[in-house]
Amino acid sequence: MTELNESFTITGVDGSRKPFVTLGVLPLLVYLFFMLAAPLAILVVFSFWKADFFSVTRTFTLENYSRLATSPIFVSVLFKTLSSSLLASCIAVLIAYAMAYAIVFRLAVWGPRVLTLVMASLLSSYVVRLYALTTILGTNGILNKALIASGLVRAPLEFLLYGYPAIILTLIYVYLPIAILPIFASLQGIDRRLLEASRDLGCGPWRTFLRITLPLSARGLRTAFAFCFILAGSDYVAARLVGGMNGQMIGSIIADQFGGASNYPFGAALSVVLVAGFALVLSGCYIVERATAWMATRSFWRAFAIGEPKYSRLCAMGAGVVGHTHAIKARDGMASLSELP
Amino acid sequence: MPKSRESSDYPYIILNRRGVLKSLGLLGLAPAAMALTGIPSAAFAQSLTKDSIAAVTGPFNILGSQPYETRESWPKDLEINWAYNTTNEEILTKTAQPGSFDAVIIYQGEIDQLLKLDRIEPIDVSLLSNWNQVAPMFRDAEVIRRGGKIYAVPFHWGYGYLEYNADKVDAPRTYQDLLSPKLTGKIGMPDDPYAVITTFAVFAGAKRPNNLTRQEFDATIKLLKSFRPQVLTIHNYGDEIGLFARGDIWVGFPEYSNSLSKSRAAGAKNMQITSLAAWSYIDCFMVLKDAVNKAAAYKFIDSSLATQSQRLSTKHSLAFPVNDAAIDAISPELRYESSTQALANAPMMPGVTVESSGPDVPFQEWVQAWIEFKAT
Repeated sequence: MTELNESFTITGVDGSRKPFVTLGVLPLLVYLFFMLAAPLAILVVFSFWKADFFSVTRTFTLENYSRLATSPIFVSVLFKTLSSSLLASCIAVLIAYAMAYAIVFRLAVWGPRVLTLVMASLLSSYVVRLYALTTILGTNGILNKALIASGLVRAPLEFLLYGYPAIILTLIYVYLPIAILPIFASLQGIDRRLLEASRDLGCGPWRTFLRITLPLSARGLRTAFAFCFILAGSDYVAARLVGGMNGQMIGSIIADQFGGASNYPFGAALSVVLVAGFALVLSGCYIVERATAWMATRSFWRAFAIGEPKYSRLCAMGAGVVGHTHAIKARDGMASLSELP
Repeated sequence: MPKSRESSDYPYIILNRRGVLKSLGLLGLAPAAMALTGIPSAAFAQSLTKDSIAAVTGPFNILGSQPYETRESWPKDLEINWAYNTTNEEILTKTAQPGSFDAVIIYQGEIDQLLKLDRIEPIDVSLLSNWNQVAPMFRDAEVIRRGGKIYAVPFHWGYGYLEYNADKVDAPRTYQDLLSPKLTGKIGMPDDPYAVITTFAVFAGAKRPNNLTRQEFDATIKLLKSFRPQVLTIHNYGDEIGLFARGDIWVGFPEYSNSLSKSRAAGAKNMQITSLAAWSYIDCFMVLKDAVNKAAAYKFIDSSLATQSQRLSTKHSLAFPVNDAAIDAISPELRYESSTQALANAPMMPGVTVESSGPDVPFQEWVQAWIEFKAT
């Protein structure tokens, strides 16, 4: 085994292969530079310029950022955007995980069919799906008509559309298929022998899920969350169509600044702050994930991990997406309870 | 002894790939360089006459709203490329690239903004054979002129009306009627700062709703903000039809031309209109200064003013014609006897200034106030 590892290492750092590796990465680097780094740099530069009447004056100013910071309206819309996309992404990822898990492990031959159905929804236009949703949820929409006809309600439920709940519901509906794909791919790639080995060694389904399935699908989970969060955070059409007077997201204000208001510098400043907001939230998630991984290496966690099954079962019931953290807290709680006279 | 290919007197043309590409590149660069250096190309240098306009062919690029795209009435010898704008302000952003369009269709209030950006030029109406078919009240209107020159040729006109579902509410007669608790969260407004702020300026009692002093503007925005609980949603033009049909909103204002008929057709059978706080606009053709095919622009404009074209575009867009001979094409529920009579209920607005140095609040502030209102 050692020999194999050594030979692999030697091959991997073989100087003669390096240029090929670099050349292979070059197109990607060029693409990233022109499609990501350069536009972002242009946005940053624009955000420090002044706006004139439908034009830009190339004079350095911090005016755009100070306007943003001192305006409670823009700050609250930014917060609303990030919080609603965070909430929608968390719920979408949870549902997506359950669906992907069922497709891979539970539905047998029906799994691929369900996956095809999920993907089929992506074949229709995004805007068409949104309009379809308004037809379903509207005051005289299909859902309200069905509820009234069944006698469950007397008057149409107006909160279904045009409000914060409608925004969250729509974001989940729109981005759920996108969240399912990476999770499905990561679950599909898990070696089933590991799951069998876990069970053979006495782990129940929950423990196997927490110790094997969840960690091995964490990358897919992370990707799904990042996709959902960024897409939901930059989406403004959905919120505008179903959110009513609450439907203004920061993306909408950015679009207005680059459109009707033609204030490119302020639009650029808002965009930079939004990108920074995304980076902040995703970095926070990364830190939590790393902290969880670090905690998993500590002795008390390991002791817990091989501890009594009843504790694990109880802890597992309280576990969320990042189940380890919750489990540690629960385990500590149990330990302190057991110390009571 | 045969001559070698390198010999100077050998009539041999080498046409290799690199040479062809180089030549084509230079051909492509030439007009671009001319445009950058300001040297007029043939298209820019042409002087227009009625004959040259009649004879013109080739591509013509126009920017306008979708309902006005009436292909049946287009001159057959032009290759017409129609691009859409969904908001008034898009006209300013989409014409930023010189040469992108030859003409635009937009309401007369945008003249000042396009002039400030040096995008449009005066139109020589003597080159338009059908100019005299335009009703005098539009032809002679001051709102299409600046400094005595005509910058906009009237195409269609309309007025912003208040549309309501008569099955749900009585006709609102005053602003106070719109504040009825029954209407809380049951009103829709278009995402159009010009239209909405002008309407609220009328409600606020401004004498010149497009020329607001700082005090009048602040009072108008305050009134608009206080009205917010009544509003369910701010929609794109066209979306109000679904909103009325689904029963999501009962009142919408200001709505235009085709909204009433289409809302009824979509299922809101008892939609009605009132002229509460109504005001008029003229959708006009404007010719862009850097138009590549200016003659085609004149040809298209002239053709659009003819009675038959006006009938077709009236039927298609449900907007009112500027040629009174086409009044019979207006949908029955909105038909009027003459433009003069129809305009009496809805005064024509000149448009909002873009000059920040004058006494009136400039349009830029209207837009920002609107964005903040939506985001509040």
